[in-house]
Order: sequence, then C-alpha cells, then structure tokens
Amino acid sequence: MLQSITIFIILLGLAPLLAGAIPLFFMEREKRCLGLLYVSGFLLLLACFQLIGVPIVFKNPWGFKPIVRIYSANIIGLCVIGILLVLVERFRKKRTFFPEQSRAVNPEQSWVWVVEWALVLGLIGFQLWMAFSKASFDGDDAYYVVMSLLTDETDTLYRIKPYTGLSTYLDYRHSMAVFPIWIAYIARVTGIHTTIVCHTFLPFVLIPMTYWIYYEIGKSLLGKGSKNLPAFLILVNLCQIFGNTSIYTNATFLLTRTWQGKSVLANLIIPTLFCIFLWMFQENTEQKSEGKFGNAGLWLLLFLLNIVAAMTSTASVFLMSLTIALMALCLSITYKNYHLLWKFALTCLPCVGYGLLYLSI
Amino acid sequence: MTTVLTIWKDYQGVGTYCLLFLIAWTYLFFTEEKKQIRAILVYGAGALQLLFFLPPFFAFYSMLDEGTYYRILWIIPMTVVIAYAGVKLHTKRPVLVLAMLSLILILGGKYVYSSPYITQAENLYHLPQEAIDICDAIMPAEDEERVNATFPLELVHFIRQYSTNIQMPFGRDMLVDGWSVGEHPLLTLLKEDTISLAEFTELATEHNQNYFVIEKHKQIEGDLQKANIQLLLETERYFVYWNKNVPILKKP
Repeated sequence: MLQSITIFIILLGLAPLLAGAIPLFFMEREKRCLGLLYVSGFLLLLACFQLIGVPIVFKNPWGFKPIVRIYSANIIGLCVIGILLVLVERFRKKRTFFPEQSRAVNPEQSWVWVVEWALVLGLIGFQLWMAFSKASFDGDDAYYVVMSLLTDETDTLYRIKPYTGLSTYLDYRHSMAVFPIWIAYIARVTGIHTTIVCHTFLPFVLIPMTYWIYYEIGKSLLGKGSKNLPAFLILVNLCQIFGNTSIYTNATFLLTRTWQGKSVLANLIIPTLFCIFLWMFQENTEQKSEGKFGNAGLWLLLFLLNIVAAMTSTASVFLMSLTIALMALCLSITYKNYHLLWKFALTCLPCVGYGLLYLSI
Repeated sequence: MTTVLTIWKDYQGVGTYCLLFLIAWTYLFFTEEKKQIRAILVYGAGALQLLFFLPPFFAFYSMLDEGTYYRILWIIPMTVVIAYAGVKLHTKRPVLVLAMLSLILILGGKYVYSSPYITQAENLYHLPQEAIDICDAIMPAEDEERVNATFPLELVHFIRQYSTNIQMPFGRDMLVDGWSVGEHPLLTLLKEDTISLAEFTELATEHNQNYFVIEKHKQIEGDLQKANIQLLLETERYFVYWNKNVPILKKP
C-alpha cells in the first residue's frame, strides 16, 4: 500500500508541479505561484489525457493498454520539459522561476487573521475527514465508477454495459468524456482498486484543489495579502458544507460525488474559468496595452480548460461555450475591446469541436 | 416560465442560497467599483441569471438535453458572489459581521453530512461490507470465467463497483423511472413476499445464473436438494444460494 500511495503522490502531486512549469513559463512572472503551478500542471496533464484517450476510445475497443503506455510516456515528457523550462529561467534569464514573496500581515489584526486562517484550514480538514470516514451513496456511481473499474479490469473502453456486464455498442455520449478512463489509469498505475481511488483517494486531491481555486479567486477579488481573504474562504466553506439544499447544487456534488466528472466540472472547471477571467483582467494588467491583456500562458490555460471540461462531461460543451461567450461579451463591452471576442472564441474551439463531433455521429 | 421557476425552486430546495445570491448580486451592482469585477461578477453573472429565466432559452436547451436545465445554475458564480459581497460588508466590523453572515449561511442552508445518503464508511471502498462479503463468496477463481448472479435491488448499485467479474441480469437501469426498461422476470419473482425455490431456480437456470441472493425477511419455500442448489452464505440480511444447475466455466 505504501508503494501505491507513493506512486499516487508522484502522479497527482509531483507530476502536475513539474508539468505546470510549461503554461507558467508563458505567464507574467508576477502571476506565478505554487498553487497556479499545480493547477496549470493538473489541467495540462488532464487535457493531454483527453487528446490521447478519445481517438483511441473510438478506434480501439481494447485500447486501454495503449492509453496507459502513451499517457505515461506523455507525463514523463511533459515533466522533463517543465524541468528544462525552469532551468532555462534560472540559468539563461538569471532569475528564479517564482517572484520573491512579500508577506503582508496587518499586525493590528494579526490574531484575528490567524484565528480565521485556522478556521479555514480546520473546515477544509473537516471536509477531508468526512470524505474519508463517511460513505456517500449515489446511483450514478453504478455507471461511472463501474466504467472505470471495467476499464481497469478488462482493458476495454466503453464496450461493456456497467450495469450488467453484457457487451454493447460504443456509447458515444459518454465516451467523449474520458474522465472515468483517467481514473482507471490512476488505478492501474498505482495498483489501488478503482473504487478506493474514487471514494477514498481522489477527494484528497479534488477538494483541496477546489478551495485553492477559491483562494486564488479571493486573491484576485480582494488583493494579495488582504486581511479579508480568510473571511472570504470561511464563507465559501460554509456555502459548500451547508449547500446541500437540494440534490442539484454544486456543493452537494462537491462533497457527495467528488470523483464524478460532473462534480469536477461544477466545482473545479467552472470556478477555474472565473479565476482565469479575473487573472486576465487584474487591475495591474488593465492599464497595459491591448496586446498585454492577460498573457499567452493564461490564454493557453483557458484553451486547456476547455479540453478538460470536455473530458469531464458532455454537458460542458454547451456550458463552457455559453459562459465564455457571455463573459467575453461583458468584458468586451466594459473594456471597449472587441478583439477579445475572437480570442475568447478561439479558446472555445475544443468544446465546439467535441460538440460537432458528437452531433455528427 | 413556470417550469423554469420550478427548476429554480427545486435547485434552491430547502435553503435560501439562490435568494442570498440575488441579494448579494444587487449589493454588488450598487457598490462595486472595480471595472473587471463589475464586468465578471455583476454584468456576467447577471446576464447568466437572466438567461436562465428566459423561456426561449429553456426551450432551446431542452432540445439539446432534457432534465438537466438546473446545470445552467452551476455556471452562475453564486458562491463567489455571496462570499465576496459578505466580505465587502465584513470590512466595517469584521468579527461581528463574519459571525452573522456565517449564521445566515448555516441557518439558510442544509448540512451536507445530515443527508440520508451519507453513512459511516465500513471500508476503504465505501461500499456496504455485506455486499463485499457476498462478492467475496461468489467471486470466480483465477482460472474461471465470470459468474452470473441475481441480487435484490438494494444491492445492485454496489456489486459491480467491487468486481466486474460478477455479471447481473439487471442493474440500476431497473430502478430509474423513465428509462423504459421492462422489468426482468427474475426481479418480478424477487419482489414477491413468498419465493418458491424450485420456481426461482428454474428461472435462474434459464437465465444462466450461477448464484442468487434472497432477502432473509422473505418467506422462502421449497427444498434445497430437490432444486439442486446450496446455501453458500448467510449474512445479516441475505441468503446467498449457489445454483449447481449452471456450471461455472473454466477459462480456455
């Protein structure tokens, strides 16, 4: 088990940190931070899985083994590139990859600040403990978790009915969102049973990452080092913990169906989308010329996010395009910069492409 | 419009978060000065909310997918707007305002861990231990082909999450209304209060079932030997029978 946990940490902890240097290399140095490095790497690796996985799912019914081989090589390659880019920054540009941190703590409020941060960490820790110690029943697991397990145990891709085990034709609707196959990959490489990966291990990655995104959103809204940041996160935590007002809310999905693609879409992808919008139009970049709006790394991240969205759920194709279109319109009008429209339209291409592919089949 | 309002009310459920969002959004509409935040959280979120309530948009969405219109509410950043508006208020009297807002969120929401669908985990799989014990008892050996087994409806969700080497004649598809899957004859028999072992075994053999599981509280009639079955396992709530009339095949 120790070996499995070590591989899990390398795969979902270390690899995103190394690969994340690729999108970050194309971002302003001031924006770079450890959280962004991890999230960028995580998105990059997932996007690659979608790009590798979907064609194989369509072409090869027993294609899981090739996916494992190609994707593993892909992870290693991206990590090596990431390390090389950090070295380039260090030795050719003669500077560290991250900017020097300035710690701004208001001494008058520091005890409140400490208590509030302790509360934030306590609330997140509490949710992780509940995710570990409580079992959450959801009917959709009979499809998604079993699909992951089927893939790991049989090497087949979407050709067996999860409910019964009988053979079936390729289910195009679900097969374009290969998130369950990615879970099967984690299970295969770590040697941990797929259901344990879903119910016990993945919440320890996905729940903290969700809160990290909210932390980044808070930083963008309130300013880095704001004394109100922990208060913002306390309110976000309470919205999630007490958000089970119906079975449909994103909070219910986050804490009871964490491992399902739909939950990842609602709680990780969509908040990240808003986070990227806020990063792109932060006040310090606002004053710069049009060409400097956001920067290449953020546009790349938005493009990757669209690919990952398609990986989590077919519904994302519509939801992401709609959100980006509306936000692009609002931002273009606000900033009187209509060139933004086609830039945002380009980032939607993956979702549009998967949508058209689905409609054409 | 009525349908959209119903979906909105269903999404809000027993809580007040959607209303809180509208209040927080209105507050930001009148107070927010930063250009990018106005564009994203005021105009953008407002436009998304408005779109949600437009009947033609609902009609368009329904052509693409039915029964999932509530997902449009996912793309409205309700949590961020509520928390951000709360923090803007929070700047005046920090601790008191935060405590009051927290109380509003707690009282206006529903504690996720009080859900009837959440129970104490019995193992790392987060599956009922009884289901795992049954699976372990009927699991094929390494040199054997997959086995077929029939389970009561309350177990069908869990079995194949533990092992896909156990196949079932029906699964969750029998449980969901509107999926228009006809009821399997084995399920019809399982639902009866009194189960005849002879009759059930005959039907199970016809459907190639190596094992079947019957709830203990059912009235079970008939002779095991006559039906050529064996009681393999008895758990707290179930009897697990091995149907010897259907051979377990060896792998080639």
